[in-house]
Amino acid sequence: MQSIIKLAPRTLVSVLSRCSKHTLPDLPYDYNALEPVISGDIMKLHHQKHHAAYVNNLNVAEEKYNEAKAHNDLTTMIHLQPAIRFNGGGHLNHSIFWQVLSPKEGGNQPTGALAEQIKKDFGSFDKMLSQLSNASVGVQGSGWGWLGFNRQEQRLQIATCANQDPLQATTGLSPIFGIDVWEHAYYLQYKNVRADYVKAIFEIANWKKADELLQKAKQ
Amino acid sequence: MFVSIVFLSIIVSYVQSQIELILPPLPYEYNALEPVLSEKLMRLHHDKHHQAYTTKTNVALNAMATDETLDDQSKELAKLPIEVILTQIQRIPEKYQSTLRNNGGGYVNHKLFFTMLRKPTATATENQPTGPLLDAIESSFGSFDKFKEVFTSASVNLFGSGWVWLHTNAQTKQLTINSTMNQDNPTMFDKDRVILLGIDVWEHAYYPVYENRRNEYVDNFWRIINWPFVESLFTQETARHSDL
Repeated sequence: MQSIIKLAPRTLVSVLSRCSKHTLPDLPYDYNALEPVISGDIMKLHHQKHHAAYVNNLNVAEEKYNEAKAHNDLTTMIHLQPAIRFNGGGHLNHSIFWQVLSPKEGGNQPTGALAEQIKKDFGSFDKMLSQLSNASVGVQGSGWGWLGFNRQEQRLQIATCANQDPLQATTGLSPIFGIDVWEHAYYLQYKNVRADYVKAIFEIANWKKADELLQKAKQ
Repeated sequence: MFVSIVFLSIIVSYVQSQIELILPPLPYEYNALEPVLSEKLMRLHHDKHHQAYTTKTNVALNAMATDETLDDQSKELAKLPIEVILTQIQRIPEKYQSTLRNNGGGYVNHKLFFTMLRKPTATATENQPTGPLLDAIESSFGSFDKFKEVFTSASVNLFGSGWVWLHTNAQTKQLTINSTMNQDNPTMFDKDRVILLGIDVWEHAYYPVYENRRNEYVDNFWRIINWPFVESLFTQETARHSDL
């Protein structure tokens, strides 16, 4: 009886870990659906290798974290935090990214509440694009450019994050539209010319989804 | 006559004050590191990335050297060798700090990096250092294999963009491995550091050949290290530093 009681927490932890494992979400379109802006080759690698690795490594880190927590091993818990931040952030960021992109449509501009909010906070759509582009191109090393919503001040803001730091956890802003400017996001196609990739990505921005995210953030 | 002398001296002083870092050519053909690093990758890495760092560093240095809002000391700082400027980042005026750290760092790091590489050996194990450097590696890490393990692990596990370095203190000759982010290098934190070996783990350094498989790139990196050159860095630079 005593040995069963001793085993129970460990079993419970591992059962719970298995139940709450993160999974790689499917893309809402085919791998080549974003051509010619982002090639099918890049999308395959980006989704099946990079994003998948973040998901797998996040699950490994979380399982170790839960194990450490069950043993009150604070040192190990803290030691694992960078891995959770990096891989968890990578999973969050890419999950949003796939959603805010969509196959190319002609004359792609935001409408409705998002259009109004952009006009209010930036003066015009072009001004917002310009600021978001400059910020994204200017990221040193790896990171993301974001259009985010500041819930306290009820306004849109441009922000950048380093590496896979997730926008909301790092800055408090709610993500509305993001651009992955890690080299893996564009290198095979655009080589070192990040500016061309950033310019082109607006042709495949899913402003409808961004509008949905804004409406949710405003609630 | 007088007017032309004045005109000429203005031109001469303008030319002299133009800072022009040169992009050093590769010390080998673009395809020399095949199949570990392809010609295509080397062309991109050198002709695009290293060139961009060179150009942007020149722009920043020239802007800083002629910036009338700065005091003379700051303007003079811009005229020092870039390697020296980067050991005094805190002295760089704030508006130039980030660009010089990133682009100047990129210029210096790549200048060094490309010289540390050579035609690949067939296997990684047959490419090893000898002499005083090997002694120092064994003294600092226990064995070459242990050093390789630590360096490889740091390279594979670095989050984001950065470099992993083997460097030494000229006096003690104690070797250290550490990673830096973006285009930082150990001399930015301690001017007496002597860099011996570095690996670029920015994605552009391996993506065209290895895609996401950084571990494969790192495993193959051991085949292209120019150990005789790295050994000479160790013996020459540590001798030079102890003379100072």
